[in-house]
Amino acid sequence: MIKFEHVGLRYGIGPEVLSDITFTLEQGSFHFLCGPSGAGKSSLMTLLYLGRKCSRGQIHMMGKDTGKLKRDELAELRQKIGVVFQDFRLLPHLSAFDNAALPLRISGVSEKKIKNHVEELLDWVGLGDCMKRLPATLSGGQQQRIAVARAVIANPRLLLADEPTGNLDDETSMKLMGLFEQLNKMGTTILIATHSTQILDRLPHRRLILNQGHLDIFDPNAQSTEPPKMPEFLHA
Amino acid sequence: MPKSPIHHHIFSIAHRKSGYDIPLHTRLGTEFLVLLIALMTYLLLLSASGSIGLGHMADKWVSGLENAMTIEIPASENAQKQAEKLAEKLPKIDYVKTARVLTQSDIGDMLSPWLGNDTSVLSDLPLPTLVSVELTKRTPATTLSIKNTVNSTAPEAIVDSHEVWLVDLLKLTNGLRVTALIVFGLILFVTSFVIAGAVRSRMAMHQRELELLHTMGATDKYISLQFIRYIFSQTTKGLGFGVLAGLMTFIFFAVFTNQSTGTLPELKMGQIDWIILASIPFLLLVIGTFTARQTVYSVLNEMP
Repeated sequence: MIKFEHVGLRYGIGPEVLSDITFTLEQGSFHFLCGPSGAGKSSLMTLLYLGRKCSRGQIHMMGKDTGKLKRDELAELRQKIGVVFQDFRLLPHLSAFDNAALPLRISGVSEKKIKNHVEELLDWVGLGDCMKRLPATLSGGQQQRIAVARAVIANPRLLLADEPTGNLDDETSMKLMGLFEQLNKMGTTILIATHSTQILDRLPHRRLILNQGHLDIFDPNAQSTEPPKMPEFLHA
Repeated sequence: MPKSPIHHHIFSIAHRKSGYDIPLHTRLGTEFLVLLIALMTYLLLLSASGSIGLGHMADKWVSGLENAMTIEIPASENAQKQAEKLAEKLPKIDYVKTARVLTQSDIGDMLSPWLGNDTSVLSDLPLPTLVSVELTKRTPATTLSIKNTVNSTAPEAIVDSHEVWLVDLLKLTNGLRVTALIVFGLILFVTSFVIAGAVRSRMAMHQRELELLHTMGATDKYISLQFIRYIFSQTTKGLGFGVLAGLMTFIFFAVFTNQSTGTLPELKMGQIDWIILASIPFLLLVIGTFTARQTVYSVLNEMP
């Protein structure tokens, strides 16, 4: 599904923010991405949603070497990736409905289908009565739910979420994680960047731990596996 | 009650009133584009009609002078007789259609702008006798034959074949036409340049939205279509104002030339001329949308 081989990333002529990253995410797997601030989580996420080209190494995604794809092929690949940004990145001039509908419009889905799908999903995330409202008139939690709805509306094969529960209460957070688990069971590969020890404790999925640009993998289900040196914030 | 397809259509429009994913409908200081396009359209119409008008004027002057010659016999006792002999002999030469001795009244008409309508003064002036020769075709052999006949009949006469006038007039009108065409091209270039600048400026303002759409898999075509639509609407508004101003100028000019004394040739536009002028707004529209497309593609190309 996703294969990083000795991937490095540097901005301009600066030092490498990611060094020799090698890992594989199988189709339908569920991973957390952890690490302290400045560890390179956002940079790794940027590479994963094809927002930047790596400085070295190879990234294979859904069976394709992303370095060799043409612009339109890359766009097609991006349509299969859903992203929940930490700062939501909702378009302020569009209603909740239109924000959520954006990936479908980009994919050229008919307006009739868009209406049905978006209404159903916004109802599901509890925003059925806010569809015509602009993001500025919604609370942080409501905006985050629109961001999640937008990320999952097109049924992506890979879902990336950067601190998706940052603005949510415990109950809504767990409900959201339930949605991610449900999507995962339907075959969507999921990678969530999080600091939340509560979520990490409750959901024993594999963890990619980034520290100073280097990556370690920890599987809490494998009893024999010695956990890598964990940053302070992850100590449960 | 089931909802009709029309309801669905209207509903979908109501959801996204502006029709733009990128907020291009918001006023962010690039509205000068409408004014600029209006001005450019107006200037293009003026330069094109100027070029067309000059072309017609040159054609009229050339056709008027090309097939005509004037023979001037200096004032003398025999001048009138010599002129009459020439009027007899010249039509026998190939391609000479007519040869006519100008009467006192004809000369009076020609000099009236300087001397007024009082023809009595003409008899006091030592005016040359003039023979107006009309040709069906100007050939070197015809010109030579005319000159030989004139030399043998009235050796002191001067043959004015208008060549000097013709060459100078053609140089002047052709120069003006080329200038008008260069101005036309320059206006198109500047318009294209300004549109590219406006698109780049808008793209810089909406960098965040562009990156988001790009991340979600929007193709360059999807994004460029939004900018093309924006430029199309701005250009159409500008064209409306520009064409209106152009029409008002044409009407003013038509009224003005109708009142002229006739010393200038009348400027009339043919069907093809109007078609050329009418195609200018479409040309601008095509150039505008094409420029917008190319600019968006070149900026997006900087994204991975």
